[in-house]
Amino acid sequence: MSGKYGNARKTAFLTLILCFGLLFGVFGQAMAATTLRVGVWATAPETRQFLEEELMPEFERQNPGVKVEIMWLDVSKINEQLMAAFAAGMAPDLFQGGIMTFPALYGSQGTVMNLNKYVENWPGKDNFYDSAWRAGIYKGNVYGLTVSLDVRPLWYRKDFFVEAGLDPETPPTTWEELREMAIKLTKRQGSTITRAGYWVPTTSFDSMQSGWLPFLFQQGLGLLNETQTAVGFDNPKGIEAITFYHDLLWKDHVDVLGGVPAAVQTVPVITGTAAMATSGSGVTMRDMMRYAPEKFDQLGAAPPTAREQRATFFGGTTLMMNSKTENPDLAWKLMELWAQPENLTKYAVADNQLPPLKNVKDDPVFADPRWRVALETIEYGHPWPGSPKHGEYRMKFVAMSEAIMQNITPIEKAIRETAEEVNAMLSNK
Amino acid sequence: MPYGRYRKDQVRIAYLFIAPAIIGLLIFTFLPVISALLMSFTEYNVLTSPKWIGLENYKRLFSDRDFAQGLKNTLYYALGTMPAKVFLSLFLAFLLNQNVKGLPVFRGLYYAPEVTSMVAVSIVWLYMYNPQVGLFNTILRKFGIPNQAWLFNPKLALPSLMLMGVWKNLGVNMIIYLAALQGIPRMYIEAAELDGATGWQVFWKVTWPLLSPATFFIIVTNLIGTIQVFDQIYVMTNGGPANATTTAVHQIYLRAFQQFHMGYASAMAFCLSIIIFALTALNFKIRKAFDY
Repeated sequence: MSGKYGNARKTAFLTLILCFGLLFGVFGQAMAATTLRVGVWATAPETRQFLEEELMPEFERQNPGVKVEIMWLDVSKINEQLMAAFAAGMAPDLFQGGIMTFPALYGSQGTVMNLNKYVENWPGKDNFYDSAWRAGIYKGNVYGLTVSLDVRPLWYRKDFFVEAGLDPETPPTTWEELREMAIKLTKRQGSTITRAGYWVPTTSFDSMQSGWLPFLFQQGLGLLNETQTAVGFDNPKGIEAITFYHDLLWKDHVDVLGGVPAAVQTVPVITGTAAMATSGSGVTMRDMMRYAPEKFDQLGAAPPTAREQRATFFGGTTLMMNSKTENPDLAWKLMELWAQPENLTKYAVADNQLPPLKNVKDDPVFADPRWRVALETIEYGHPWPGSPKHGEYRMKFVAMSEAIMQNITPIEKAIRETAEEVNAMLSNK
Repeated sequence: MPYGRYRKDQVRIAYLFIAPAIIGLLIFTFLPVISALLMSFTEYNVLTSPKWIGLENYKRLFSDRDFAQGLKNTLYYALGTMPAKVFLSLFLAFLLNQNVKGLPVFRGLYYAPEVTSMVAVSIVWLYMYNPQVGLFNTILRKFGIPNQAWLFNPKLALPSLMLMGVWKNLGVNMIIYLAALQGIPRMYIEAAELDGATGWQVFWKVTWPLLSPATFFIIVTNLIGTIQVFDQIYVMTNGGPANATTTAVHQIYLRAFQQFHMGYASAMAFCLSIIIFALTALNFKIRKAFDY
C-alpha cells in the first residue's frame, strides 16, 4: 500500500542513512589524524613485505598519529599513474621515480620539492656514492634521494671460459680482449650459434643500456653534451663506440639477431645461451640462483671494460617529495628513515638492486665477492642524462639504436639524422 | 488511441528509460571529447596548468615525421588487412554454413581467438615469431626456407602483425557473415538454380549482393577498429624496429604518456578522428552505389 505515509517512511529511512553516512565520514576524518601517501614502485613481493611490514610501521611507531598509505605504482605504467594522480590532485606526498630523469622532469616543472634546506646539514648524504647522490640533482638543486641502483658490470660464465681454454679468473678489461674472448666463447652447431660469446641485444632499451651505452661512456662521452644542448656522440669517438658494438654482431658474429633462444626469458648467461653479458646486478644474481642454482658458483662478475675510462650504465630509483604536500617536514622524516643505511640496504636487497651507500661494502649481506664487484662498479656508473626532455628524445635514441643494430640504416647516417632531430628538440624551450 | 496527454506520458517514460544511457554518454564520452578538443589548443603536461597556444599543435603535426610514419603504417595496416578480413571470414562462414558433424565445435574454435585477450595472444605470437625456434620458422625450415627475422625485420614486422590481426578478428566477422548467410531466403537461391545458374553465378548474382549490408557493416567496423590498432604494437614491438610498426594511436600514446605532451597528443587524436570520419563517410557514399 503506497500513499503519503508510505512515502514519508521511505523519505525518513533515506534521510537516516544519509545522516549516519555523514556522521561516520566526519567521525572517521577526526579519527584519521595525519595521512602520508607514498607512491612506491611495486616490484618484488619481498619489497612490498619490507615496506608494509617493517619500514612504514616503524615510521608510524616513531610518529604517533600518523598513518602511511602506500600507493603501489606499476613500473611499466608509472608515468600514466603519476600523471593521472597529479591531474586529479591526488598525487602522493612522496613518490619514486627513475634516477636523473624524474628529478629533472618533475623538478623543472616545480612539481617536486627542492630538498636543499633538508639535506644541507644532513650527515646521511656523505655516505652516498657521488654518482648516486648526483642522480637526484637537477640544476644544482636536490630533488630526489637515490634509494636503489641497478648497476651493470660484466657478468660471465667461468665454466664456459674453461671450456674455451680461457682463464676464468681473467675476464676482459679492454674492448679488444672482450672481442677476442667473445669470438672464442661463441659456440656453434653447424652454422647455427648455440651460445653467444657476448650478449648483443638489438631492441628497445636493452640495446642501449646493456648495449652500446657503456662503450660510449668508456669513450668519455655521454648521450648529451655537458650543457645538454646537443647530442654528445655524433663525432668520431661516438661512432667508434657504436660501431664496435654493432660489429660484435654483424662482423664478429658473437651473437645472433634476436638472441639465442632460451627456455626462460632472463639474462642469457643464466640460461647458458651467452658466455658474457652486461646486465643488472641484482636481477642477474637473483635469477642465477632461481633458474640455475647448480651453476651459481660458475657465475663471475667483472668491472666493465675500459677505453678512455672505465664506465658502464646504471639506472635506479629516486625518492621525491611532492611540492604541494601539506606535510613536508613529516615527508622528509620518512625519507630520512628510509635513507638510513640499514633500511636502504634492506630495501635494495629486497628489490634486487643495490643500495647507493659507500659503507655497505662491509655489510655481510654483500660478502659474496660478486657483490663487491657490483658495488665497486657504482663508481663507474653513468645514468641517462638528467634532462626534462628525456621523455621526448629517448624513443628517438631507441629507434636509432634499432635502426643501427638491425642494419636498417648505416651507423653514421642514423647518428647524424637522430642528432639533428634531438638537437632541434633540445633547442626548443 | 488518444493522441494528446497519453502520448506525452509515454514520451516522458521513454526518456526516463534512456536517460541513464544518455547521461553516461554525456559524462563519459561527450564531455571528455570536448575537454580533449579544448586541450588540443593548449600546451599541457599535466604537471602544470595548460597554456593556450592556439593552432600550434595542429601546425606541428604537419612536420612531425614520426606521426606521419604512424599514419602511413596505420593506413597500410587497415587497408592491408581489410580484404583478408572480409573474404577469409566469408569463406569460413560458407564452410561453417554446411551441415557437417561437429559444426558447433568448429564454430567455437574459429571464434575462440576473438574472446582471447589481445595481450595474451600477442605474447604467444611473439614466441611463434621467434627467429630461432618460433613455430613459423620451424615450418619454413621443413621446406628448406631459411629463418626469417619476422618482428626484427622492418619489412616483415608490420605484415607479421597484420597476419596476427586478421587471425584474431576472423571469428566475429565470420559470425556476422554466418548470420547474414542464414538470413538469405532459400527461395532466391532455389529460383536461381532452377533457372540454370552455376554455383559461382548463384554466389555472384544472388548471395553476394544480399550480403552487402553485412559486408558494409564489417568493412566500416573493422576499418574503425584497425585504424585504432595499438595493443599488439605495444606488446610485441613497441613501434620498432626503428618505427617500422609504429601506428597513429601508438604515437598518441607515446606523446601523451611518455613525453607528457597531452595537448599535442589530443591534437593528434582529433586529426585521427577526422580521418576516421572521412573514411566512414566515404564508405557510406560508396555503399549507396552498391547496396541492394
